[in-house]
Amino acid sequence: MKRSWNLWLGGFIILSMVVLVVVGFVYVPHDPLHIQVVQRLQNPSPVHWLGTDHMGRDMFSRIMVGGRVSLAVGGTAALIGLVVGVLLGALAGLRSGWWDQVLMRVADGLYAFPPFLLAILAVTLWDPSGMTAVIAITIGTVPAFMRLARNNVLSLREAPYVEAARALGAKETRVLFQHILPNMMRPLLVQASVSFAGAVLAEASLSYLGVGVQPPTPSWGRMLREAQGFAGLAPWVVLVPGAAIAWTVLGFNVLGDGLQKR
Amino acid sequence: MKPSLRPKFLVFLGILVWSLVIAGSAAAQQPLTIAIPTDPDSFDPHRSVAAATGEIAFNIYEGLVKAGPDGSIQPALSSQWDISDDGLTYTFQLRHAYFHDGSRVTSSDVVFSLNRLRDPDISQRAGEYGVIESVTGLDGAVTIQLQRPHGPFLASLAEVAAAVIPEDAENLAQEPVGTGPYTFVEWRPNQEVRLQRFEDHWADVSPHFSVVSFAIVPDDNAAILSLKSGQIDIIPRLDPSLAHQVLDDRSLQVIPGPMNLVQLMALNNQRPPFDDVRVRQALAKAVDREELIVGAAWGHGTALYSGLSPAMEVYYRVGLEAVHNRDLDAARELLRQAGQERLEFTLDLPAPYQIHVQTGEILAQQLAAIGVRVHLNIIEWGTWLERVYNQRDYEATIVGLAGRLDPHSVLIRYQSDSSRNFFNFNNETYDQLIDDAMQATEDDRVELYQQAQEILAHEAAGIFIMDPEQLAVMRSGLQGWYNYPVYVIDAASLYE
Amino acid sequence: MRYVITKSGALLAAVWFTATLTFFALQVLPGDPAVLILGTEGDPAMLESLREQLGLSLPLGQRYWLWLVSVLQLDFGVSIRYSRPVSQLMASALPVTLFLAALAVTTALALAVPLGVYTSVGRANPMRAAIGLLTHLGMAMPSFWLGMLLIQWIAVERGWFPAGGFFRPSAAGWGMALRSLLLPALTLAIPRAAILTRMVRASMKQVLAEDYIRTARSKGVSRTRTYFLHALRNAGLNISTVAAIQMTQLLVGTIIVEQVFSLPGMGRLLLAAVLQRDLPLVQGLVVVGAAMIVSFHYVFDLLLGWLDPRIRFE
Repeated sequence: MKRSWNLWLGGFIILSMVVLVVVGFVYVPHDPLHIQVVQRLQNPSPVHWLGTDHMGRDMFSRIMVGGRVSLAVGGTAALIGLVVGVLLGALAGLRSGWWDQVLMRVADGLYAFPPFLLAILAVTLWDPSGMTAVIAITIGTVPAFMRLARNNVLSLREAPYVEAARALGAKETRVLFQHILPNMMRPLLVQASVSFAGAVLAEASLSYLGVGVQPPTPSWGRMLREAQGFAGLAPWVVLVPGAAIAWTVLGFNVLGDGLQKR
Repeated sequence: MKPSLRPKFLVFLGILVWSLVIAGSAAAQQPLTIAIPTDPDSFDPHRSVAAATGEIAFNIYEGLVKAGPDGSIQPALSSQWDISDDGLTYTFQLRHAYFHDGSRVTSSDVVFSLNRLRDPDISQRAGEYGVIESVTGLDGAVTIQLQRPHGPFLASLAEVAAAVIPEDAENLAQEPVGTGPYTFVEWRPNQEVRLQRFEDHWADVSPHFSVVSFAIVPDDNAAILSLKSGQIDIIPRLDPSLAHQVLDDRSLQVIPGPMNLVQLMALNNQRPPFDDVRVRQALAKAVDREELIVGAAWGHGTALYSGLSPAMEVYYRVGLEAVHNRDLDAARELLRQAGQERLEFTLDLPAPYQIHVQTGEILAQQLAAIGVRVHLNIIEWGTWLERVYNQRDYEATIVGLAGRLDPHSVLIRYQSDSSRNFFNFNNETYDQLIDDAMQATEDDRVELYQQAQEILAHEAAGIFIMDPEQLAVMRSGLQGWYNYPVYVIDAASLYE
Repeated sequence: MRYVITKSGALLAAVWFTATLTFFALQVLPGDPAVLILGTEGDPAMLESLREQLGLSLPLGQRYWLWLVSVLQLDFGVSIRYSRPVSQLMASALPVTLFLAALAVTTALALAVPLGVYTSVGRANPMRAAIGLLTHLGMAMPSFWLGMLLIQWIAVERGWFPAGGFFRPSAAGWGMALRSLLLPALTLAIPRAAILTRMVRASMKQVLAEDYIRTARSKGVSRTRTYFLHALRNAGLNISTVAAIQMTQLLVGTIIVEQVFSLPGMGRLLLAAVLQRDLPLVQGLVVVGAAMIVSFHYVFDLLLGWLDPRIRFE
């Protein structure tokens, strides 16, 4: 029972967010884009459950719709990061020598390249859209997977059963997919969960810096950026989007925990 | 102790003592701290072009004349002047004044400065002073000969760019030497620019504050927080959308004034469908300026109906609001006539300017009421300047155009061959009016500029929106603040 | 020896690669410094003469070559926006960032190590559960949000700390300088501390289960001595791996935190430089930043190989 506690809690939190976002496709209490200047910064009430923002738009509806961006960007970035990172990391670990050197230096270079600098470049080179944020964040998630995969491959390939398989004449790719990858699945899944959480945070930061998704589409980070000036006047406009981000990230982190302990 | 360590130790001790002295003296002086959003670019008045530099340099440099808080031309290094009847010869009597380095201001310094100002190899602003034929130094006076009469000339001499600098000045970009009420102390990028009172200034009254620090705070929210917790004393230009944060705070005072800024939705007049005047007029009839002012500027703004702000009191054409009354049916009808019932266009919004972005968001919703679909496209300022302003590759955008002392530099933007006419507005009558005004007498100029504004309104050259209020916020107790109609901060007039 | 040489070569290559990438990426951006300086007052003639002045009219390849040669001589050129040497600008910004980062690391470690050790030993109790929950919350909060909340509720409404800006020790004294960095450091430290606490706990639990710890305990070594001397030292490998990754994230995190608290550090300088297209400054910052992080990883790799021979390079 105890061991799956984290798994359940993480799953529940993620599910609650996913349900909220999915329902948002079918039904929202108010038009999240409709500006009503006279209704601005209203307190939470039965009409506006989480109040209204500085343009009089319904906060609850905006949270529902804004979640799409966070989940989509986070999910895509984590998935691509996983696939690309593991492939490159495994390559570095198996080939060693030059490959290892070059790939790991590239990973270091990526670490050194601030993601938001990438994002600004991306936004100006391509059209500003959710896509650019995904690209910037994905590039940011790759090195972690690379390092993890490489270090795991390095220690696993000297494990007795891997040596044995190789001695029996198995090919490198076969060794990788049959013997090494399955044995590092758990740390990778944990990293994927953590990366998802990290990507949600990164998307929020980029949107906060103004290089994420474009209005009128709401995103949680953008909502925070716009709300910044009203923290003293209407605390909920700052509290609500931040809490939504924290809740989602919490869900994935707890899930990652559960995966690790299982 | 080893002997070799001793010099290091002494240096260390010296630094320690020095920092204590600095700390002590800083505490004693209590500088007046003014928040500004960006660093200056260069303190060389002839090379500098950033507005942020002008704000500070106004306190360091002076020209023959300078701007007054009401937009009038005030005496500065010249106590009085004469203009010949043909408007070609200006004679300025020089005052007994000193530079910050202690040397006396002579007529040859003035001649040197004005010649440097119009030298295209050195000066960024040479083009604007191209009308000068020659500058001659007399004993205690200077004569400027013009090629042709030029109405805005005196106002152009009040610009910070027309500052008088010492003939032997070097490295002005980093160590400015002027004649203004404050001398330059240091500039720490991203932190502050520090000035000190100039004790030998020609004015009888010397400034109240002996040290003034311009703190660089790019974010208005951060500036407000610092103002409330006492690290800064003044925010000269608060974003009106943040005004609510300071209005009910009793320890602060807010001094509003017109900003002399024209906020408009610029339409690319050459690009279909905006080359059709009916489409532009339809948009003009669909705009609810009141909602925009309340929504984007929290009510702190004055509605505009043409290209000049009411801050330009004499020249402002009153009563243009009736040209395009808000009338959605008429707007739809105009679109129908133009065959643009399903009009769609992209509105580029410059990211760092919250007020323009919010105006754009509300405007998009207003235009939806007449069936127009607006795609918002928020772009970074560098991209905006390159693509929208310089290459004129856009459909519509919202921006604010800063005014000057003279309407000429604002209205010339709409002249068809002007290099700053990024609207691509093209109207022969208008071009003629602006040309005529340059050579006309003062009374005639007023009349001509008023006619020019009428054309802009009728033709809907752009959708003029508002002049946001300049909200100067400072701690209560400070007095003597003036909101200028140009982009300067006058620290010398402040006291408490 | 050969290893150190190849490794150093790879290191330089990584820095060169990053710097070159930045150089060309920034050339593609629309707008140049001249356009940005002139703003809405510019016209083509003014643009042309300003570009000439700023040395922007040379061909791309030539500019790249000139830049590369001078960087090799450790000359980063003159900032276009601030018209003063890039090295001078970095010299004034670097101490702020390093001071902030050091303060944040110290705070994070000071929080994480005792908490991590405490939660790893003994039975589960409400206190330990609460710490576990707090670490989860700490990791989940976006740092800029945390910063905004701290500014609003601690600096503005209570007035305990300045709401932003940096006070130079030479002008305002060390006490004030420290005070102006405390909230930003806390903002940076809390998420790192949360991660580190969990890492310390996990590694400690792993180590505590090992035989030699039980042996040590049964031999009569005191509880504290066992935990802090034997167990913590052996958990060091994992902890330092995470701490190293955290270090990089911390440096990147300073960009946002410096923005939220308007601190004149490297991050804000970089953001301003990118937005102003101040190429010499951006390149200088990227080269120095990349060199710092890459060499940090280099040293760390060496350390890792020394600690765990399995990962050592041939």
